[in-house]
Amino acid sequence: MSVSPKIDYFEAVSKSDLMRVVLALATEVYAMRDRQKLLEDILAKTGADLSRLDEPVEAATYDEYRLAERDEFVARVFAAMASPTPSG
Amino acid sequence: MDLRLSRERQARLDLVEGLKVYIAGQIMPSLRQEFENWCDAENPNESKLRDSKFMQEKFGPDPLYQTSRGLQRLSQEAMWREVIFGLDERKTEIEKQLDSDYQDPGSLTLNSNLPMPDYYENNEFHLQPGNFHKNSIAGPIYEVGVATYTMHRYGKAGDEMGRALVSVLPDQPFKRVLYMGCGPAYKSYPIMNALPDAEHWGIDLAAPMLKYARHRAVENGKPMHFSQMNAEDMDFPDGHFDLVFCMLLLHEVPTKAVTNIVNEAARVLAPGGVLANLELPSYDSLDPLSAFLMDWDTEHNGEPFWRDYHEMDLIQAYQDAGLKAKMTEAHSEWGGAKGNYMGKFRYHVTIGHKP
Repeated sequence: MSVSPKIDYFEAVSKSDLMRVVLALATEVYAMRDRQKLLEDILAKTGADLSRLDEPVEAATYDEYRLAERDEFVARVFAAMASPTPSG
Repeated sequence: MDLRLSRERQARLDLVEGLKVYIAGQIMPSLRQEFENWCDAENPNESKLRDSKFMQEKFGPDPLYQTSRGLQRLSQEAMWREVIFGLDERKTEIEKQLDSDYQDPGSLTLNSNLPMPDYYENNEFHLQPGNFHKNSIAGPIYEVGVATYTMHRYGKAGDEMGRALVSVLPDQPFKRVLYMGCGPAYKSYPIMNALPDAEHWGIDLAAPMLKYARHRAVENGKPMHFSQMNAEDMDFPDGHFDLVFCMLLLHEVPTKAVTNIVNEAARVLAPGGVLANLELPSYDSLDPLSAFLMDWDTEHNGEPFWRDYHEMDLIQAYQDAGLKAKMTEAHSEWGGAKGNYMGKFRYHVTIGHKP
């Protein structure tokens, strides 16, 4: 099916709602990505104890590695927002 | 109480905090540059820049401004959603801890018949769902949320504001101390540390906050007395305290309530006593763009009385209550941090002496 780039299928949809979806999606992806990375680390070492996945942790603010990963991820996902294009 | 979230839940919250850092560190500087370029080109006069209607007409349609404000709002909504999601998996365990019957020094007195003022009942401060009084674990939710909201700039102990207040308190003996609108009360620990021999009291409208405050105080060895009261109409006798203070309380209530609270604080102060109110800086002490952005919170961040507070004459309210008043500034570690949209700022502390 071809899609005309001239048609804005979401013209009447609130941009705020679209951004809510984007943010929710980013949250989900980031959480999965973070969990996946930890899982890979564990399996790479021993393939054993997965209980670490549910352990409580400090905020990324206090973990240099996770902080750098977070900020790099956010900057990549939200890059378009740093210099937004006017609508219309 | 261990408020750390499980890794997956914390990762969700980390993402939201990362977005807040991105807004402050990437988007806001671009907006400021745009503002400064426009000022250089158009040279608008100061009164125009201080006119929120003019600024809204100028920047309201601006894509960068809209992006900054939209993401700020959505990140705040997402933050509370993820904090609650993170803590809800431990809600039963947390509630059990909060219901502990402590025999440690200090006390907790709740009043289930205390009426909630309309301005409190019908608002969600900083957009916290259920406000401070409708969720049994509102205290832990507040603490984790505020740490994220402020991008952890209040320090790991969350007590930066209390340290700022201690730094400007008059050097005089305080034997009985009252913290109005204490919430979880951890911001006051530096004051307790500075006045170890004083009797410390904290009041708040919200029972969940006070239960958490008591739990946290016991855990931290702080013998504080907590009582559920309205600061506009307290149960304490006249002249009961040597020091009464509050931090970021007065901008959360309507002007009439501010006046009532100041009058009531003056009533419960003993002669020679001190009333100290710590707040964020006034609009007129900030550059016009920062003031305009700060004012945005009035309509969009659960701060309905923010503008009124900044426009009222608090010094006059102190004087009308019979206090000798002056405004002083206190160093803010948060206000000195990089990536703050208001630029560097210092807290404003209104000090009143009762003759």
